Amino acid sequence: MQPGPKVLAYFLGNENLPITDTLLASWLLVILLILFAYILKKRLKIVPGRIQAAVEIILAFVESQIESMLPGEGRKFLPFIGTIFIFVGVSTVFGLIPGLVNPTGDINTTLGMALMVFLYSQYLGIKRKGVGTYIKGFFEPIFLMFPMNVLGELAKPISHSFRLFGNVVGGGIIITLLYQFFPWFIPVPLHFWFDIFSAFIQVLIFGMIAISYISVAISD
Amino acid sequence: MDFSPEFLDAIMKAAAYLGAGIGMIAGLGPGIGQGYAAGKGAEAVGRQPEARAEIMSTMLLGQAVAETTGIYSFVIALILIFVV
Amino acid sequence: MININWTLIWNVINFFILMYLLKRFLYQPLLEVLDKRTAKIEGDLKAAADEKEEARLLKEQYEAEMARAREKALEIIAEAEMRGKERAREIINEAKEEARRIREKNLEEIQLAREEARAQLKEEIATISLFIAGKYLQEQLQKEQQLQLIEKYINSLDRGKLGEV
Repeated sequence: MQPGPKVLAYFLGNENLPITDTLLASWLLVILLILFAYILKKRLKIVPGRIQAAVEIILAFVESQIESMLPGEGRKFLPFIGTIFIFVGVSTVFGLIPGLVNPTGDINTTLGMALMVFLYSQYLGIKRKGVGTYIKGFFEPIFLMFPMNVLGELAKPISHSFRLFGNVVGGGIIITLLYQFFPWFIPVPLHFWFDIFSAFIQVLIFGMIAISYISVAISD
Repeated sequence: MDFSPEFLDAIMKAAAYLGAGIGMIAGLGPGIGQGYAAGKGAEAVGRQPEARAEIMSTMLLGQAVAETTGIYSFVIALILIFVV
Repeated sequence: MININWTLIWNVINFFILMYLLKRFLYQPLLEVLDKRTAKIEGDLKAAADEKEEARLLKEQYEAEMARAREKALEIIAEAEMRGKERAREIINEAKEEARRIREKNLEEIQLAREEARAQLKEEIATISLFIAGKYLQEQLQKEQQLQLIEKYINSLDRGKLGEV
């Protein structure tokens, strides 16, 4: 048993550019999401249908979460945070479809997003506070804390990405082990716990922590 | 003293598996932390039953964050088992 | 199982493409629709409030008019009552006056009749006196006869003429 992404082919035969099953799944997911969004856009109405209402509820929830930590900037950060929520959320349950895998079961996916959040929050911190204040922030409360502050800052994307990755992979491994012991029916309800409930909590946490990193970075 | 490569490999595997198992002792920490959070959450619900949903979501969030150390050890155990 | 490679960059690119397209296809149109709905609901609520206010004003106006009309009606009734009473008093006064006039007229007539009767009586008495005197002169010759005659006449006079008057 070897969990984790499997390399299916190499891009242009280059050993450094593998194409894994998680990457294929995430491409498929992006295409499906864009198609869904495009169809939804064509059918947008003042009086919403069921799907539109559901999407509205999700986006309103994301916006309210952003508003609770970054007051008055819900609209500004909605595309970034909302895409994180949607992409991570859908990719965490994507493996339930037979033949597909969770894109978040690959450390490259989660670390990519965590690094993006990290860089974006650092960029916002520099932009809002100015370079001087930003650098000075690393020397607080005293000069000696500089290495700790840098380490603490660098640990953020790692803990951010490994939390989601570990949960998804851990759930997957437990389910796989159970399938080896009981090949029939018994592991099925556990999908609800590991692949839906726990996964959604982790997605929520992933998004919330992304918001809070941005909020911490731009606050004094 | 000379050891055959198979023997060394077996020793390394054994040490890695042992290390993975020992590393998972870190699971204690999140367990205690999450249990404490759940207890506090139950107390809060008992004190303010009308704020149940709010308390539940806050508790789950805190528990998930507290789980981080356990996840770290889990990832390290995974690396020890499957990579080393 | 944990090897960081170029798929990380692929995923980041994926994410940015997804973000851009979702922004175009989902967030902006959806937020527009939400804003539109908010504006519509606000407008509807405002229109409803305006209509309600208008209705309230109209009702107040009606009520004020009704009150005024009632007051006016009461006034008219009171005036009519007053006029009626006055008229009644007038009629009664007129009737009294009429009655008084009729009585006066009657009295006058009675007075006239009495005076006339008195004048007639006087005249008659004079005529009778003259007649008596004539008779007396005529019947001086037959004194006895005459005396009888006079007595007889006076008797008849007492009974007949004077009793009538």
